[in-house]
Amino acid sequence: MQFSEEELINGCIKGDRLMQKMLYERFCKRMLAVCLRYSKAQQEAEDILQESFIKIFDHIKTFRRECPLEQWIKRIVINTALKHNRSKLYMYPALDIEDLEKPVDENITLSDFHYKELLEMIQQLAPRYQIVFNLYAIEGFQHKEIAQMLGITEGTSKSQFARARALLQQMIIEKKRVNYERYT
Amino acid sequence: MKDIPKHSFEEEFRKAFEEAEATPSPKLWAQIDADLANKEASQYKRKLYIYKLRVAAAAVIAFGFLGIWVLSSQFSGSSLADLPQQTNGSQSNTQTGNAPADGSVPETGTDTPALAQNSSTRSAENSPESASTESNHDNVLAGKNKLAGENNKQTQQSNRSRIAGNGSNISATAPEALALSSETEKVRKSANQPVKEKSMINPTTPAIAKNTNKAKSVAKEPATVLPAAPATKNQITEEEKNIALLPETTTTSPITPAANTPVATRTDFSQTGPAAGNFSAYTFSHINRQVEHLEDNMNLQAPSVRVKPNPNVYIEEEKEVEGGKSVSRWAVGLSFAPSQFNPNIQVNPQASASLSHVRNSYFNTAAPVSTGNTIQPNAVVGKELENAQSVNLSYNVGMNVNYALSKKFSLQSGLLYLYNQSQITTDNYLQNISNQEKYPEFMALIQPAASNSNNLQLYSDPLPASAPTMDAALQNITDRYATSYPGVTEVMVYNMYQYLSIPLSLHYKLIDKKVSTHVGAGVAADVFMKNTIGNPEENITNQEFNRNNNGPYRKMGFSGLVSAKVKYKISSRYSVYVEPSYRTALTPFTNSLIVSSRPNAFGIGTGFQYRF
Repeated sequence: MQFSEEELINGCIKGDRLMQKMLYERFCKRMLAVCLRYSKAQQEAEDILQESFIKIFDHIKTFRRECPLEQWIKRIVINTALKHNRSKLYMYPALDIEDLEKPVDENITLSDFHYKELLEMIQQLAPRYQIVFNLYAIEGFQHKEIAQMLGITEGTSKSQFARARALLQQMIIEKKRVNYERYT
Repeated sequence: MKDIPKHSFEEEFRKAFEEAEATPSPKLWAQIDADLANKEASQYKRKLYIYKLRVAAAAVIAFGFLGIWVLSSQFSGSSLADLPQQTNGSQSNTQTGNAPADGSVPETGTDTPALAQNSSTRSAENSPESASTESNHDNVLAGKNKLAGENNKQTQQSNRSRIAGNGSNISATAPEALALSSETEKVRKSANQPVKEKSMINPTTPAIAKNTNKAKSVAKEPATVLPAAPATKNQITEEEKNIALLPETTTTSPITPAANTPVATRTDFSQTGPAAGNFSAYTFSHINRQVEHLEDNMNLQAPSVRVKPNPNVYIEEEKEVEGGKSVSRWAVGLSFAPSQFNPNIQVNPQASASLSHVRNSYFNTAAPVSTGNTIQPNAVVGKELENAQSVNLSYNVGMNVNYALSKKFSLQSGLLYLYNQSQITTDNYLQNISNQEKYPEFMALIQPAASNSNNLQLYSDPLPASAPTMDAALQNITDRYATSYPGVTEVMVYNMYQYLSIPLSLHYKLIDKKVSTHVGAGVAADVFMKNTIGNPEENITNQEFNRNNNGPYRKMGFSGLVSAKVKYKISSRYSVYVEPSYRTALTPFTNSLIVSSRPNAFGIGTGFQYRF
């Protein structure tokens, strides 16, 4: 039986465990994909997802329906992931934007890659690069917003994003080269 | 969020992850479910904690009010209005208080002419020498009578002020008639003799002399007055009938008892029956014994039950961990509890009458009394005892030992010193003219022998050492009082009980937090140390009853205890607590047939506890 979002929300507000499970099942796969982008492994991502859903069920009565439910849930998942990774954000010294290497190739296309391959590359980044790249490139936040969310300067956010972007480009080129050699 | 330019590097990534999905492990929902359940449980616990806290607060408040109510109801329960139900003689007391001195009360019946004869006879019997030797002293005291009459309280005036108002014209017949009529009716009732209905007794008509003589003769028949055997036997008979039904009912059941099943018989009770006060306890134990016998004879055996160990039973280690520290189950504490103490004295009117009949007969046949009319029937004496009130501070202080049986239950014992005070207000006393010492009449009920000796000493004081008999001495003195007794005022007589108590109680912890609440119930063995009765400031010499002087107090009594405790944990080892408690006697604390005391006390204890 397919419940509407409204029914799921109301059921969860009442603490109906069945509705909570339905809501979980509806969004868990997409949210796990989000968690995986902010973590290094499946187990860590599942920990984040578990914590996120507990928060979701706790606070669903505060959901004001001003945005789609999925967006609200995703925001909670991202916040939980950030909280989970906050301690890792300052493990590496920040680079100035001027110190960055020039992009390797601006015309890189990703259509040849499955998302899991791209996910593996993102997971190989240092945590702060991984987070800033996710927030800027995939979630679409501005550097100013990212700086506020992470408690860093806007410049730091930009520099870390640039570094992450460059690293990913290098990884993609390398991957393309390996694939090319494999098939030729 | 910014607008990401199409086909940029970031756009490529975003598109790649737009529809990305990953399957979580199947157990993830189970973990979330468990987390949610735990959260709900903790919320429930929080609500339950608040609920328990409210219940505990309500219990403490209710318990406090209950204690106060019980005490106040006991005090008010023995008020003058209730006296007719409590003592046989109370009716006569009321009549005494209401009887006008002018003799306007309806006539009493056929006994009317007799008193005059008796009065004149007594006057003739009095020796003129004794009257003349006392005349000077009597004149001085006669003046005091007037002053005392004016100073008497309004509440006392119903009885005494009329008498005092007569001043030097005090006639022996009025108070005499009052006292005699009261006493006569009381003794009549106690002797189960038919009494004609009389609303009032005319104090001017010498009606009661016959009754007095009659009463005296009746009272001298010991078999008719001493312990209330008939009533007790009636009760036993009723219980006996119930018990006798037991085997009959079992015969209708599928299990047939053995032929020699014991049946409770009348002789079982009549021969070994307890005193009336212990009857119900005795009956229950007797019934239990009968049932046990019955089961034994029927060879009933309980079916064998396989006992499974309950996995949920919490088995504690000898040491518990609290606040990161290992603490023992044992704890010791010191406590102090101010309390309100009520000796709860009940007077057995029949036994009282029988015991004091001799002394009362002196009073009745003599010609008392002047101002204050000290010589009242026993009913008044009983009333005063039953009106014993606690107004002074009582307290108990001591140490306690606590052993935690489990997380919730604990046993508590210890040693407490109880200092209980009560006071009895009385205007019913005799006074030694020479040294002004007062002798409260109720002492005659508490310790008859001591009181009699006091009376003898008092009355025989002006007589030669070779005073022939007690009768003569009393007769002499009561006549002297007819013109010389000073006014009577109320005096306070203090009772200071001292006990050592060993309580044993089981406590249940309702809330186990930094502020924990407990309820407890148990019993206490109270060892009598001594009781001092008196008031030296009022010229009432202290009289001490202790374990050795054969007083009326049992050497040990048992009390029931209930309490509610709120404990604040200062640290893992130290805590302080407040503990309202109520204790009531389970057994009488006196071994007297006349006076029965089942004290109760309500206190609010404070204490300090150390856990090893």
